[in-house]
Amino acid sequence: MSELLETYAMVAGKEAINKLQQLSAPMKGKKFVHVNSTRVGGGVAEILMKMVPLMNELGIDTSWEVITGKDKFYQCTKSMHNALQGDPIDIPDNLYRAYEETNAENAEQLRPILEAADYVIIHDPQPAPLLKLCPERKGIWVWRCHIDASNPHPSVWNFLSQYVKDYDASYFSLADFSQQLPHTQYLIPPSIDPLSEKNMDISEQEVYSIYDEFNLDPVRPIMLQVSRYDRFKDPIGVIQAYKLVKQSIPEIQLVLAGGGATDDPEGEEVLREVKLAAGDDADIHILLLPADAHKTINALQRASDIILQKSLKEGFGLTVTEAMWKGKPVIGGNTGGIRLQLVNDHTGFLVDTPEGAALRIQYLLQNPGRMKEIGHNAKEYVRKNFLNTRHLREILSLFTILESRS
Amino acid sequence: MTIKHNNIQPLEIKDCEILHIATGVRSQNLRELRDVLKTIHPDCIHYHFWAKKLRAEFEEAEFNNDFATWAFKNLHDNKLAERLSLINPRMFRDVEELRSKLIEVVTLSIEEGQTAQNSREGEKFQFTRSDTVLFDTGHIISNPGQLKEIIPNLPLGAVYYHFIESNSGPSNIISFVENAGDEYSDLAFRLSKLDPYFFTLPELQSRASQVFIDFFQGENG
Repeated sequence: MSELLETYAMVAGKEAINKLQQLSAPMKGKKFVHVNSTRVGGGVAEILMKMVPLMNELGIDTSWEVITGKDKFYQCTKSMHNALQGDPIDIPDNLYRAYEETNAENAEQLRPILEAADYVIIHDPQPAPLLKLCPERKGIWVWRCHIDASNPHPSVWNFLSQYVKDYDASYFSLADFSQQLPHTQYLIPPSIDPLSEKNMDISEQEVYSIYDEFNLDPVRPIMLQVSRYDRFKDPIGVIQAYKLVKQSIPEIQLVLAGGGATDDPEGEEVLREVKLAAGDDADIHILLLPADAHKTINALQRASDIILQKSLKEGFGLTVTEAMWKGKPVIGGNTGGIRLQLVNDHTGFLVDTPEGAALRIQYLLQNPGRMKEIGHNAKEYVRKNFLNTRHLREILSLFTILESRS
Repeated sequence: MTIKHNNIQPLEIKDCEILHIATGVRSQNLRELRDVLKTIHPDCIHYHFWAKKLRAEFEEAEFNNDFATWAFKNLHDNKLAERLSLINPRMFRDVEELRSKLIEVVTLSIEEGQTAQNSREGEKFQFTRSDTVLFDTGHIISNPGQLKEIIPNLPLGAVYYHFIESNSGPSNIISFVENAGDEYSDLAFRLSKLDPYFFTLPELQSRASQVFIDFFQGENG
């Protein structure tokens, strides 16, 4: 076993690695391609950054391709993302055209790789038309939807489904997100990499350096939300919860740590709204971090007492998983994939309002024993369910099943 | 008295994982649940009785299947949850009999009219099924005595596969012991008394291990 696999075995167990080796043995030397629309920022890029090397380590010839586009393409895909999450947005035809043209342009470049591949995963709606644009494809193609599509705006889903329906299979994080499609829809939640900069163990000194760097008081409690500045992440609701807590626990500090993704044009506007809501409160720290600030986020999560992810819609919520892995109590929005991770009162708390979040924050700060217990449960829950070794095992299992049937 | 001959075939111990499959079919209330139950693929019914054994959860232990858990957690109908939880799939000849029982219990509850409400958006009953993937463990068993050492250390996926998923087929541990010859018929009988429906997988593993220990101690003593 290679050194990398040995290291994974130490965290996830030898059994997990043994299964990966069994599944990958027949795929050795075969060509596996992932396609998405951004190499940095957002959960998909983070997953692929670690999963692709792990797949190569197992002997599967794996590459990661990224499609690129201009403003209109990203406007279309952002609107599509929001509409799939339930916003009643009708996308104008010219944006749909930009979406199709961008995919056609990217297909010109990617066609030789994709048509030769044995296995292809197309991530999310952005590159979904590539399947139709690769008529000579020989491999198995699977569409992965990372989005909470439980209640999509019908016109947008109707448009997208014409591209998605011809895939050999698709997979979603939750059953609630699945749709009526003519192929099998698997359920595979995403994962974190325990060895990544964002999740690996770091020294106390590195954690402490965060207090100075961001002018935080190590003696006073800190609540943190890490996420893009996106309305669905409800940063304003977090500030409201903080203000409610502040009335009874004046020493509380709030950190909102976010960055942008190259495929998200709305971030700046939301950031302005957040700054306006924070006003001149010196205990609210709004951070705009670069996409590669993984160690900083790691340290921020470890330095905080309570982590929030008060999303109103959430495909999965990897920031929840990351915080749980660090043994922190997490208070999350009662939505999407957060429900899969936070088992109320066992591995965290689910809330529907800023008031609910404020209540749980106060409860936890009054009960350090419960904070510790919930944090411990959370970490073990992630170890069993949400590490990338489990995630890859399920992906390889899916392709093994599809191949055996084809 | 009939004499059973030893027709034992080596048993290859497999670990298993299940891949969950969304059907896209959902129910928001009891009427919808009953309507779907009438036609849903039999694999879905099997899944909702057994697959939760492989999920690491903190759910209420008294509710043994997904239908009962949903009635309790999402419809807030404790009475129905108890009735559904009592439906033990091992008491039915096949999944169609089990389906009829489910429909009967749900219909009774509809007629009593105590559960009128819908579950919240996002809390509908999601009909799911699964595919199974098997993994080699490296263990090939040629006599039941070897199982005494192996069972306590089996991964839980193997416990699930060899006690539940394999049903009464050749990979089932009880079938293997039954076929191992008359000297093991008491062991097979004791194992058959363990009802997996009422145990978590670690409990089932522990109870089965104890049965093997007791049997072989008795044999040696």
